[in-house]
Amino acid sequence: MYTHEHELDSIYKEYILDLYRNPKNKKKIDSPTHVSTKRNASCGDELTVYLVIVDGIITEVGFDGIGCAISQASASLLTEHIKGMSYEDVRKITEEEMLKLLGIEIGLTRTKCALLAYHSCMNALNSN
Amino acid sequence: MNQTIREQFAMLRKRPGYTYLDSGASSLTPDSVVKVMDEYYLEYRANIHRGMYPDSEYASTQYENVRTIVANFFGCTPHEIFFTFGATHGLNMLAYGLEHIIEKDDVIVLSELEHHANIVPWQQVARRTGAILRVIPVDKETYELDGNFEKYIDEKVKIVSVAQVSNVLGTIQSITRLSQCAHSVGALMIVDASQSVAHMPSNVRELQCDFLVCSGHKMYGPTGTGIVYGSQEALEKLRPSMFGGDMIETVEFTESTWADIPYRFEAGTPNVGGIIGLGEAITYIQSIGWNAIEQHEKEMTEKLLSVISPYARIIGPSHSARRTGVVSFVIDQIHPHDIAGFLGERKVAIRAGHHCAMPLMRSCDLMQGTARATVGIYTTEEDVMHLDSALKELQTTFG
Repeated sequence: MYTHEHELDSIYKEYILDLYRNPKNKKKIDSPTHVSTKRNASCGDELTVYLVIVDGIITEVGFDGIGCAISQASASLLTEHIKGMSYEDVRKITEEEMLKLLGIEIGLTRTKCALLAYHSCMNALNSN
Repeated sequence: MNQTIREQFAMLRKRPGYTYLDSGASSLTPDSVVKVMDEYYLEYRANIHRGMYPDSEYASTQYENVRTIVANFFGCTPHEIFFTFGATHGLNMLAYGLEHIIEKDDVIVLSELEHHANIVPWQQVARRTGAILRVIPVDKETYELDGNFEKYIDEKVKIVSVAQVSNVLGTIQSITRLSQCAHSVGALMIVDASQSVAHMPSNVRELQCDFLVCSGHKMYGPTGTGIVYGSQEALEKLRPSMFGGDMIETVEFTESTWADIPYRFEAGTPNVGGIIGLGEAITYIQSIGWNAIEQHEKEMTEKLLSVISPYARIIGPSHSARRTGVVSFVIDQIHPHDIAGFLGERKVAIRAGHHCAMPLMRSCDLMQGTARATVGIYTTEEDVMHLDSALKELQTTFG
């Protein structure tokens, strides 16, 4: 029997909206060592992740672009999370870990938004 | 009228407070439609044509009877109707089946507001044949198509294919005039009626079109059903593009001959239960009647426009004349997916995105898409009020 339980929990938690309004690390970095832009054509979203990696450590990180509350909040959370981490450790982050970091139950249609920054970041790691 | 109508839809009857404003994507299904499909599956489930036993006979009769129901609905003869699995399927069949009349440098005319299903099949035909796609633009102020059709439809044009109602803007196109214009240069006129069939009469003789295509699931019927109308003359030009059982007359390993029109366009076992349901959906629409439907939906559209306007910019005509209940809107600083997601959590179902009309979105500079609320026969004033309070809450939360 189909229930409507999935409707009970809101994805628009206060902390998600806060991150959307005041995202951390939302800045373009002028001379990144690694950079990548990913688009989500179905949302029209575009997100660029900038990294400065020195001696295998993420010393500086930023992102910019446009997107919904979910993609902006995940970009903020991810960039904050990887600051100071080693290149190798960031590479090991899985999609599941990214979704866990976001901390809300996300449905199929919004998973792309939740992972947009993650994919830009992973792509950026391979960009140099 | 619509409280009684809501009683006829289990989805609405069982979920008080649920506001469904996404009929433009897919309409809800009345119980009567589900009932006739249940009867087929539970009481006389059999394949149609050539089963020489009573259940198969009965299933065939019920299936063929829908062809007559559809013919009456569109004002044509039953032999001018064939069934598909949806409008996309129908448009692809037309594109493949008419490719033989297209030569290099011929022109296929579309409009800027087309759904991807009425763009991509033609684009692929053009790619294969060396033909050119020509696009009638949408005026970004009035949202009307450039009415100077003669400018786009010249002797080089072989096919004109346009949506009767835009699934983004809600605008109604001047199909009869387009048909006349197409015919004056010997081109075929195709109408994508997916967004109109449930909301206004689509009489093919009045529209003067050669083909008309629609989906069943936007007209209170089941998913996986679709209709193609083709005039007798036009169907003779259309070649089959799906081959197999039922569409043939004789088969040898080296060659085959086709069944009569329209059966040659129905290869394989069709969606029998679905088509029987679709027939009931049309009967349901007819039982309410166009006057009641149009009057009610116009009233709801006006209410929708006036409720949304204070919060958002309407993408499409802001008055209810010459438009249907497809209302697209954007709100500054709030992504359409957040609008729809937030409203969804408040039991208001609307759609968001590019609505399979990326070229239109691009030219309107709306690459994040729009939010879109659409009216159905079951839409009530309470639904509109519910939307209003959800939008108010959205504004407070995101503001």
